[in-house]
Amino acid sequence: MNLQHPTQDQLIDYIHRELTPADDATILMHIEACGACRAQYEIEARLSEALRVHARATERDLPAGVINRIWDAVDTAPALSWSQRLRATLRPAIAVPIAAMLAVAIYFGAGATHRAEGPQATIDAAYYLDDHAALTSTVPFGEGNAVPSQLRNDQVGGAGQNVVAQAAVIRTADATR
Amino acid sequence: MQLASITTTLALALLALQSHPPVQPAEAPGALLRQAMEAPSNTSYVGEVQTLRFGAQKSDAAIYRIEHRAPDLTRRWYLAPQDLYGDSIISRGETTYSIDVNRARVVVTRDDSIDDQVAQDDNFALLNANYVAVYGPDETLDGRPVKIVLLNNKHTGETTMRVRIDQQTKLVVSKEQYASNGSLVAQTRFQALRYTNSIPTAIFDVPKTMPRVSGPSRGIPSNNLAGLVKSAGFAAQGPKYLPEGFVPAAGDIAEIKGVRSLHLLYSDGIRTVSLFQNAKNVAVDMSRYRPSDTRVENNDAQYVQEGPTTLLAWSEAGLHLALVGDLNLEELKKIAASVVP
Repeated sequence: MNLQHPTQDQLIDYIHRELTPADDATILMHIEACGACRAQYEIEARLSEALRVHARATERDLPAGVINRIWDAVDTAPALSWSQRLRATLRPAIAVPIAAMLAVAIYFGAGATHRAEGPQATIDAAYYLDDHAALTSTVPFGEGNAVPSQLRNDQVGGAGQNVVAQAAVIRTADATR
Repeated sequence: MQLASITTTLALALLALQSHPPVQPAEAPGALLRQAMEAPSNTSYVGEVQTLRFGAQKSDAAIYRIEHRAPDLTRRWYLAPQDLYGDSIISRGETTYSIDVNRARVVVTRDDSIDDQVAQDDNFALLNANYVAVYGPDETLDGRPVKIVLLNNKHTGETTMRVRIDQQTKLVVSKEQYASNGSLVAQTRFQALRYTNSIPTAIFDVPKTMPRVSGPSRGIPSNNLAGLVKSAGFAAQGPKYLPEGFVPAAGDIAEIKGVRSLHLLYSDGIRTVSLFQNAKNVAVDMSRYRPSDTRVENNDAQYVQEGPTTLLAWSEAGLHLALVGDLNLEELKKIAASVVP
């Protein structure tokens, strides 16, 4: 990447870890050296976090009235005869997707009988230990880790592969300080 | 003749004054501790540091050479353990470069809280609120006079920390932390310490030939824990019981794997305990440790011990919770039981 100042899109991709390792390293080095780009990066990071928070805060279930009207429409639909229902079911537009779904369900269902249940999402315990040590850095005469996690773990941050693969540990400093 | 007598008397008086300099008032141990906290900002030195952290299942030890140029340039060059030999850590203010020779990379991390003077002042005030600083008998370390300060817990009366401070530079040259039962939890000790103002800045240059990897970045944590709990995005909980002297100290919110995780830190000025929680189905993976089973009230729980630090994890009321601290397991379980009453 022949980079002077990263574009806004590149910064956003950097924040979301969507760059190649080489481009990621180039931007990191640039941000460290360039105060203006570092400031822009911090603005983008805060904005991303704010958008996430806002999206979560504004998630809404369907209003109860809408749900009730949908169920009313279902309940009041004219009843079809058995033959009408069978003909409707056998129309290609419905039958083909159903057949495909059945095939997929049988394939994975059979596999599931031979496989253990898929792995549950987890956060590596090392993340908690490291984060605890990091947040105690301002405690007087604090000890921290005898052996630094950055040098001990294959994954940066000592947070384990799952965590670092996302690499979206974005801190939200409180505005009151 | 009379003049000569007066002159002689004055000369003798002056000699007497010089041989008995006026007695300086003794410095309060608390004031010395404060100076010790600030000493690295004013004092440059080179030496070797040995750190030990003792645990029930496992202990950690490390030895590294250290070069520190005041106020904020430090290089630690690891001699032990064996798998870290040759690795080094260069701190330049709030940015830390971990130079990993084995993996041929430099991990860059940034922590704004390192220079958070407000938090340091708050924590020192908390230490003064919960601990009495008293002098121990003076000692000599590597030929230099040192003051010993004991930090005794006001609530239990037990010594929690012993700090040795160089009388001239005020640098902490060794410290020991003790558990509530009196056992040694951690020890850090300088050796072959030499004070110098001629450390070349080139020592703190980061190698440019190794690829750099960005590690986690940390902003200044919040001390508004009530505000953090409200902005967690889920019905977060806090402990209703804490050991005497512990108060909310700091916290932050992190996105891990898209999961919002709340971290609350409680402290008494020396000892700390963290509570982590998330409301998604994301439990703690302890597979690379040797976890043991236990119970938090009626809930299954697991814990691991890394040196003196214990991590206790359990799920309750739709939350995945984890406590981390240097307290013993029973104390952690008592705190855990109070999180969701």
